[in-house]
Amino acid sequence: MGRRSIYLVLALLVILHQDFWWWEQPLVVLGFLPASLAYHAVYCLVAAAASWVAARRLWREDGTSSVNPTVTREPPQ
Amino acid sequence: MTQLVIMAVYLAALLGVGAAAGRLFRGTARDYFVASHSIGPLLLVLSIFGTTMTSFALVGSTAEAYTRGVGVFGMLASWSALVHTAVFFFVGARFWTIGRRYGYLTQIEYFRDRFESRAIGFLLFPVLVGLTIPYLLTGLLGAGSVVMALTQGALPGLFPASGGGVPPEITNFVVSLVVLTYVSTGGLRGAAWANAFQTVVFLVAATASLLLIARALGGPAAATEAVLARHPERLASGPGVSQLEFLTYGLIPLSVGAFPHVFQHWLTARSVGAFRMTVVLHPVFIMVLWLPCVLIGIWATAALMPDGSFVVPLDHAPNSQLGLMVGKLTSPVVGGLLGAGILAAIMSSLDSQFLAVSSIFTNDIVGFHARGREVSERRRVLLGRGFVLAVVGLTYGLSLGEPRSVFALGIWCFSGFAALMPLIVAALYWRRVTREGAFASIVTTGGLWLLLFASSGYGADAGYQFLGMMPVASLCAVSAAALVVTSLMTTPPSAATIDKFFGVAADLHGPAGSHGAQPSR
Repeated sequence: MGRRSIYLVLALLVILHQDFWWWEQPLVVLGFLPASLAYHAVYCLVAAAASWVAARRLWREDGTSSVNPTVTREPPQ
Repeated sequence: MTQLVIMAVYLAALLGVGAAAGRLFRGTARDYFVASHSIGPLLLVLSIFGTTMTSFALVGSTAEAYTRGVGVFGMLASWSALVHTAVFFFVGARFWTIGRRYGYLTQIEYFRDRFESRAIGFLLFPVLVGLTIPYLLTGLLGAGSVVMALTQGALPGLFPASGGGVPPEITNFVVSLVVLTYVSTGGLRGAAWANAFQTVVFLVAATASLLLIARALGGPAAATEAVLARHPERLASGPGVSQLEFLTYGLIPLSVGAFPHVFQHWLTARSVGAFRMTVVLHPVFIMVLWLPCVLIGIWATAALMPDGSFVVPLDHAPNSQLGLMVGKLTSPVVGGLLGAGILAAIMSSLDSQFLAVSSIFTNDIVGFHARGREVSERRRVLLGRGFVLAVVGLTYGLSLGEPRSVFALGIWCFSGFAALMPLIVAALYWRRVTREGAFASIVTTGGLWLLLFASSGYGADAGYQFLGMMPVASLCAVSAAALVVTSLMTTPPSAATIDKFFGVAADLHGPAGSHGAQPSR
């Protein structure tokens, strides 16, 4: 996953945030959880998973980053 | 009475944590303001989360869910999960690197160098402090209203006017005093330790309160069914919110990148590796905290007491829904524990905010004026403590005025900070941005923010919109337009500045980076 893929995932998550398909409908899932609330709760977990992948791929083990070229593990002493 | 005792014990424990952190204090300004860059991954994620979540997340979200329904989770929580993480990823880690390299303690120090301007500090100082004070105010307003609701009937002889509950002015005074004490003792390390402790407390408290309230209402399914029968519109995102408004809410969490206290917490990181845990766990914690609060808020619209009266009466005090639900539906012991958790969320933001404004004052105003003259480390720390005292006093005084909705006040404050994000992103990623562009952006944004805030009755109109959108959309657009247009019309920054912040010298692994550019202070 490169820098471009990260931006693409970010854009996709912005679009998916607009859950217009049940905008006015008071649907309930699992017997108690409003569907919209459940959707956005899962959305938070997806954002966390995407961050995990991005951090693993883009913040390399040597501390440098292809997104933030100046990122390092430790500063110079 | 039991609730009060438990909350008092909690506050005492917090002072103990602050005192323990204070024992590690090294007596230097760097240690007081950024904990000598010694904070590891777990403490970083807990302290940053604690400092970004305040009464707005607990008290404000419950109150707003009560009024508008579950849409509030999408409008702020899930947007924050995405936007906060992106900001930590693209702005936080980069700021950390630059801050470490050049020894910056505040945003203003960075902007002064980046824009080759001494004056920008004097322009930004009142903007940052002025926007932080309403944020501080949301914390105190939340603390006052929740504690009063939780302690209803506890001390009828002492506080008859507030139904036996502890009046907000007393709670606000005690909360301010406790925060002031542990911040003065331990500096940012004390705040980070206290925040981590408090984050655990309020995450557990929010989850426990959800479970106990659900049980008291006959189970989660029964609680939701009652809402479905009385207020079905509260279970959908849409009613009362346009798609455009919902979308533009996504700009508000951008504010996290401009908060002075979050900037300061970023600088405490021991290494960039510490950020990994933050970007992954922050959205998970947001979900764990907001989900219970929003559910409690919607359940409150239909929750009944055994005598058939509403748990949250129609004439309830502003921001009191969470306190009333917890106070009336759980035992006094649980109420006390949950009250402590709510205070934890509030105080974990107040401490860092107090410290951040003090840091700006000490380093950017006092330190800058004293250029060339020696200001001892001891004197800097002393001045920092003095300024914290002044800000606490001012915020306490303002909290005694007419109460505003915590949610509305928070939104205005976040909108102002979010409008600074075009400037921050441009400073970090756009070489062509100029000093004049920065000035134009700050002045235009500040002017428009004041105009719109006044139009909303200074936060009194909680549903205020501009051009059918959240005001933050116009603020960000104007801020970005002023920045770009003015920058393109003026002379680019010097080659030395570009090289310092973007060139080979900026790469700490590069040969020039290891020995080239020198810290500016």
